[in-house]
Amino acid sequence: MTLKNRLWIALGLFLLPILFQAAHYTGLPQPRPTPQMPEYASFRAPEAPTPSAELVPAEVNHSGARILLDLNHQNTYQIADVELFTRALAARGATVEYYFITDLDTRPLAERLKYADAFVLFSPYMIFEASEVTALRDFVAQGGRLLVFADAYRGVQGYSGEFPDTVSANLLLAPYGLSFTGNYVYNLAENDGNFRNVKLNDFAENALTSGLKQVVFYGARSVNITGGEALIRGDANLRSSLNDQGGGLAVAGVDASGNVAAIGSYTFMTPPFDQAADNARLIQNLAEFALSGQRLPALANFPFVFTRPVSLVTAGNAKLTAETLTAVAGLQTTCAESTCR
Amino acid sequence: MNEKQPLFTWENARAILLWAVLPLVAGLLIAAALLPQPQIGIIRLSTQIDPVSASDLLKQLDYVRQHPEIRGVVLVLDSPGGTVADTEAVYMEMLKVRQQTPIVASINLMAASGAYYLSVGSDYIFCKPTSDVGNIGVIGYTPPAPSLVDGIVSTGPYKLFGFERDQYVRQIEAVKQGFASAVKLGRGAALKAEMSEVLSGKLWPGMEAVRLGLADALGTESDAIEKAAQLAGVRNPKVVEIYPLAIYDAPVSSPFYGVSPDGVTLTTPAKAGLYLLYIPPATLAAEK
Repeated sequence: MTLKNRLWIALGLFLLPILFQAAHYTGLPQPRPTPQMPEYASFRAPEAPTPSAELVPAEVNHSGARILLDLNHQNTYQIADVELFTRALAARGATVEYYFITDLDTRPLAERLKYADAFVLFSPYMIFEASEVTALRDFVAQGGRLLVFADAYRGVQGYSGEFPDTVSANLLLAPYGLSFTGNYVYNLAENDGNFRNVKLNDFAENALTSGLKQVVFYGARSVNITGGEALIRGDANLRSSLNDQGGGLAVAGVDASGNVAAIGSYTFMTPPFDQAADNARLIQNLAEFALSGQRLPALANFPFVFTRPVSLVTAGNAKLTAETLTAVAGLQTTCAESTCR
Repeated sequence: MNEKQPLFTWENARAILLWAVLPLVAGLLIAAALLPQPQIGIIRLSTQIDPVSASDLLKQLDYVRQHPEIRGVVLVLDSPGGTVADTEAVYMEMLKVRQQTPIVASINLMAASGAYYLSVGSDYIFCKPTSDVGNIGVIGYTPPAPSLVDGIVSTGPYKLFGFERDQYVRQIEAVKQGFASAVKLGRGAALKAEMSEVLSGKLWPGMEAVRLGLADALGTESDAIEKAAQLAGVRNPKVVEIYPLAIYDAPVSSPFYGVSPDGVTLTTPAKAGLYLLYIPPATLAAEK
């Protein structure tokens, strides 16, 4: 064998394991995209929306008005949570009272409503008694204002999930074509820093929405309206947590008479949320709404005369004519229909 | 007259040794030196992402960078996520490693929140048909409103509380944007779901995650190993667990989750802060 052949054999045997190993371990690498890092420095926390509506100075034009706030139905709010609202009422000359039955004050709701201009209800859990429901219906029928607030942050967490603050409120609201859904609304596209902080721009023409361009609700429930008017609606991206469906969900509405309002949030009243968008103006509007009812006084509204047995006394030379007897009969009828004895 | 030569002579043996055996042995030695058996490294995350587990992951990724014979990595995930900064640290390191070494994620039971954040830092994502995948988003505990605390002196209104409460909530949105960007960049054209759907925070079963483009395919750990080898352009790799090679320190226990007064470990973190974490809702309600 020539030297040249020997060299070829040696070279072949030298390369053989290298080629074998290369073939055994090497495949065709697949092209891979170059990994890209997010531009972290470009991400910013969103700014809070600034107010656009003008705040109207409160005028003391409701002196003597009384607003009754419910605290008797395991309401899940603190007095401080709604202090901006009660302050707005007081600034207009109204007296704010709380309905809370204790050993020292056992007056029933019907008694307390006699002097009230509005009854305001925040997140009740205890069901209203039949006498209370009747008293409130009479109150509204006579032009008293009823404001009912629910709030998605005020649900009570249980082992099997949330107990929403809607059941008791909905029983009261049912005759007026209003009800809350036990959900929260959210908006992934247009929000104030978080999907559940929803910006609302769609307002119906109403004193309650006067001057508003945008409000922000922080944890709101939607309001179903079958017999009234939606006051504040979300856009197409506002969705319900219950089914992720949306499109025109309302978060506030009034009944057909305009005396009953259902508002699906009140966290917006609590600082610092009152400073976002036109929330402060909405608080003012709500206070004005509570004080602007046209209450028609009935005999039962008079505090002392018709709460006890009544004796009819004639003074002077009054004659028992047919007209006088008709007037007295009318008084008796009214008294019998109301809660006076 | 020709004399027949014997088959074995010392001269022939010397020639075979010189021209055959010697080149073959040299070839074998050089082949072993030049072309060692490629390795696919396995890195596992089976707990929440916290400073301890993140440190372990970073050490393992560093080991991969220091050892070129590891040609691909399979990141096996079974985690509900964890702290934001730790997740981001591992994710960013993964992107560096990926510049030289492909990483394939293999999701077992769950890759939720921060664990999914790590998944999108890989080249390819496998999951099981019913793996829990997604939960993209951030959770945080709102700090208390600033107030004066009797007996504590501080030099600024937020020295004691750290954050303005409202700003803290907004900051979550900025963290979410980072997560969303990582998902978009990581999944690229493979992502079929709308971002609004992606950012809803849902957990999807693996088969749905594949349909939405949040994962690439259903498959096992061995499928992930094959894919890593394929991406790296290697065959017949040796599979090695990176943890025992890279971690020398004894694990340090960390109280990541809170403990109830009666000694039961909770599913919510012990410390307030921002988390890329999935908390089972049933247990959350029970602990509230």
